[in-house]
Amino acid sequence: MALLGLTIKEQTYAWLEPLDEYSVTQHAAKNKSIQIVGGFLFSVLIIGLITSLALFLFTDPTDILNPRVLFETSWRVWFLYLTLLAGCVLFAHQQQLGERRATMPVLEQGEEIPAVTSLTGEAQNLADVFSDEARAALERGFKLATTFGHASVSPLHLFIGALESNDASIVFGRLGLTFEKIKDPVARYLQGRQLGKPTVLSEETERVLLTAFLESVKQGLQEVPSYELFVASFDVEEFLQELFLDSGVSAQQFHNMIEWIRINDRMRIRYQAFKKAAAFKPTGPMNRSMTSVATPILDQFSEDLTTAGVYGQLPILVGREREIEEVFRVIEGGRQSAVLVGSEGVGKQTILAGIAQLMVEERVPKILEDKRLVRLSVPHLISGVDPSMAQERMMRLFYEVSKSRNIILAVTDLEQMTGLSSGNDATADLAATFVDFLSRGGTFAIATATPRAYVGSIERSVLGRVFQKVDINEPDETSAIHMLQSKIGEIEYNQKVVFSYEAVEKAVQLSDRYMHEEYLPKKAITIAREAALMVSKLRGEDALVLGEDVAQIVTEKTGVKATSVASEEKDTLLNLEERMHGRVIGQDEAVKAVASALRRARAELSSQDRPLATFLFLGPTGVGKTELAKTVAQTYFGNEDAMIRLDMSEYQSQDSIHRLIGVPGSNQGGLLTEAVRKQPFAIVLLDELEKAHPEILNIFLQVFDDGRLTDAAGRTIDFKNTIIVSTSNAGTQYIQDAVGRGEDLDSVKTHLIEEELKGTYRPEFLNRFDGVIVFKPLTQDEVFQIAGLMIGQVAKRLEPKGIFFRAEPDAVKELSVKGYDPKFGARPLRRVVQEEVDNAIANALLAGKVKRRDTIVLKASGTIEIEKGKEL
Amino acid sequence: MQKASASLIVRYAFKDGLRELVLLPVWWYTNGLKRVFLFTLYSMKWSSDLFGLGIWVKNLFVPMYGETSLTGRAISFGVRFVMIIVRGIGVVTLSLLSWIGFVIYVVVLPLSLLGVIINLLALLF
Repeated sequence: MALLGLTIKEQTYAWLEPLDEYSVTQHAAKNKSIQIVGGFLFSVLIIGLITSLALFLFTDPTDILNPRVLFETSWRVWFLYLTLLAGCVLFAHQQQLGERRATMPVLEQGEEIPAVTSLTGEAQNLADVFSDEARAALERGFKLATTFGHASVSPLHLFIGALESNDASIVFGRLGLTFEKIKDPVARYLQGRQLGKPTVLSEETERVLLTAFLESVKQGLQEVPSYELFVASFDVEEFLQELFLDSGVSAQQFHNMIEWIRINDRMRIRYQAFKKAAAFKPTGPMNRSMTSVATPILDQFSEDLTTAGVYGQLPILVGREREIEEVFRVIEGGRQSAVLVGSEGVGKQTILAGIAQLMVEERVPKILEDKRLVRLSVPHLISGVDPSMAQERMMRLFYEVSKSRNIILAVTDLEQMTGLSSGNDATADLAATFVDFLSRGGTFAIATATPRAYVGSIERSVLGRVFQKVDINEPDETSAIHMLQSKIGEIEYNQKVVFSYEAVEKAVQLSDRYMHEEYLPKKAITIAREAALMVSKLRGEDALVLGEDVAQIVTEKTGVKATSVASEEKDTLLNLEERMHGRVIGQDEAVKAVASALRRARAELSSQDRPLATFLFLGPTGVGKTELAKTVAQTYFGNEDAMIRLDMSEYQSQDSIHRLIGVPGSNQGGLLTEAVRKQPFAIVLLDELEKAHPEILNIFLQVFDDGRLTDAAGRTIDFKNTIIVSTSNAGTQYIQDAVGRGEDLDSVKTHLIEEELKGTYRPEFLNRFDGVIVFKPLTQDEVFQIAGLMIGQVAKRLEPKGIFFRAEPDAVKELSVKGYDPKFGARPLRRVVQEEVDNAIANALLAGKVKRRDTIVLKASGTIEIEKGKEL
Repeated sequence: MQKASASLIVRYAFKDGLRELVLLPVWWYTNGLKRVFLFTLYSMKWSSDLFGLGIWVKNLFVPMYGETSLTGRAISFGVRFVMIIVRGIGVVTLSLLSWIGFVIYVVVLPLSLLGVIINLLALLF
């Protein structure tokens, strides 16, 4: 007995079909018997037809065409009537099968969505609007519950019952799941269910059935498909959500996957309706009412979008209903032209295609009925002629348009109409001609423009007067995923590959995160196309495109590591300190802080809206601040050159801000913004930050906070994949004194921030850094180790010449003593190594004392000795 | 789906088949007739759409090929008038065919039934 119901348009719906062993068996028998009856009738029809034909052929074949034969009495005529009768019965049988006992209700736009309530009074049986597959899913769920002896059919049973449907296998396949993966936990969970007899439909499952029905009504479907049961049971069963999460599939991802199936369903239904409607749309210049004229000049410089639509050459539009409605409102209400303003790649052309398709189907306001949308090609129009001739061409073309009266013009990149010039003296503005034509009521136009072009060339020009702006915004992540999903079918067909859901999602997410110069959904579609091509070449036909494939394409395109952490990289990350200490001696706290920040960034634990990490390295000169920054570039970005280095002492005046981000009005970026735009995955080293003008520090406040900066050309530069390291010598004297007194680094740091740096940096600026790291002055022992490293570098430089080099420990000690200066850190050491070691080696090389395979040995007191190598 | 026993299936096949046969005339002249009638109406609309009759009538006074001169208008009106008649004939022909189909539907069931019975009786007795 049903407990719950749903009322739509005063009709209540409830699951009234009994669900027990007897009814399920009966239903199965009924289904089979329908097939048998149909088969039997069809056989009678065929046998009757063949027999009567044969009898006619054996007697007098010409009688077939004689109507009088119907009145004769013979076996052949009897068989003819029998065939006719069988045909009637079969026709009635098939028609009755197609007759639903109920039809799905239709929810009007803006109508309140009803809620599931307790059932009172009469109701329509939901089973009558369920698809065969959906009913089968419920029956399989029931069977499962009875097999386990469960007291009720829960949503979980229903979910498992729906697994056998085609849609479920698509969902599982694309999500990278298998039944094997979830089988054991499901079985364990089922064992804990309450037992009892007879098995009945639980109230929760009833609610699921009603929810699935409501969702199907909202989608405008003709029946309830099995995938709606699938998603409705998933939504109420927390165990399933947890289970999917364990397999790496979130509820949002699952819903997006279901939406993919819905999109494909809708596209199929729309395509069928479109094909039907397109049969009536003329494809030439002539409209159905024949009021138009031939347009030979227009045809030369344009493309008929409605004709392309009839031939199925235009992409199908997903979403964007609001924008299209607005365009129609502008045209119908204000009798004005519209310009779609949106960044490159947000789908302006697809919206034009969508409008063309609506015109093919004649699902447009009256004013656009029986018309064609023609895209004018401005480059074609102006090519090969001077501006005045282009203008003349345009006038003749407009004459055709106004005479034809069935043309709506589409102009992509409307700004092309302005500022046309050739040579020194011939200039003309097509815009004025165009505006004049439109304002005289010649026709309407739907144009496109980027925001920058709109502000620069359209808004305040004559074009702005006749074109009303319709904003086309970049879609959000979920909408972009749905838009990409609508394109995947075509990509899969072309490249013979299959996309996983993860690949689709990653194409949108990664392109959104790392490719800031382009816009969704186009950039995601490009990435998906390239990934499909790569996979089909590498792994052959029917290969699955995975998220990692998409990440690889993004990595190749942007240079940003978008792929997940591979096992060897894991080792690198876990042993970062060790690797860093290979180059940086001492400074344990600094190395540890930096390594931890890098691990957090790579594991994507740090904020996604800020740079990967921001550090302020404080300390005396020559203690390894820059060296540590270089080490980070080498270990994290894989290359010491992945570093954008700015000497902030060059930015001491307020004006120098323009060198960083570009001169206003120049339409060009600055040194910093251009460098980061070209190399978004790099370390930005701001040397001697304290010397920069305070206004410049304010710019970095924003970078540290939002991870982006707008340059003079108006481009937003993304700093989210950079590590920003600022070095500063401020407070050096204090650090040296305090470390000399033996104070611990933490208290030194606190005092530095609270007292010493007050005059140099504002507190809010210091607070923005992920870490303020104090580098302590080097000890004699550390300088000795650095000397060892430098000797190693000398040996490395000699290696290509085939000469070996080593230094005796006493010699290294001597060098480190000579090169040690607590004020300047390891800097003097480099000079000492240059003077004492490099010079001696250079002299020996020039004197020809050293040959290949010889070993140069540095001894104490700076002398060098040469050990002869083996003769060949 | 639940497996049904063969005997149950056969029983249903007989029961349902027989019921369908007995109720055939009822369905034929109620739901069936309504369906075929609606289909006939749809066919008429389809044939009207096919020939674009509505558009031609609506544009009877609109000059063809943008010829707005008086002569152009006069010729247009004449041509449109003739075209409306020609297209009208097309629509009527197609509609007539649909209605013939409808009439055939109405008579085919008793005709075939009588044919079977009368012939069988005459042949056997």
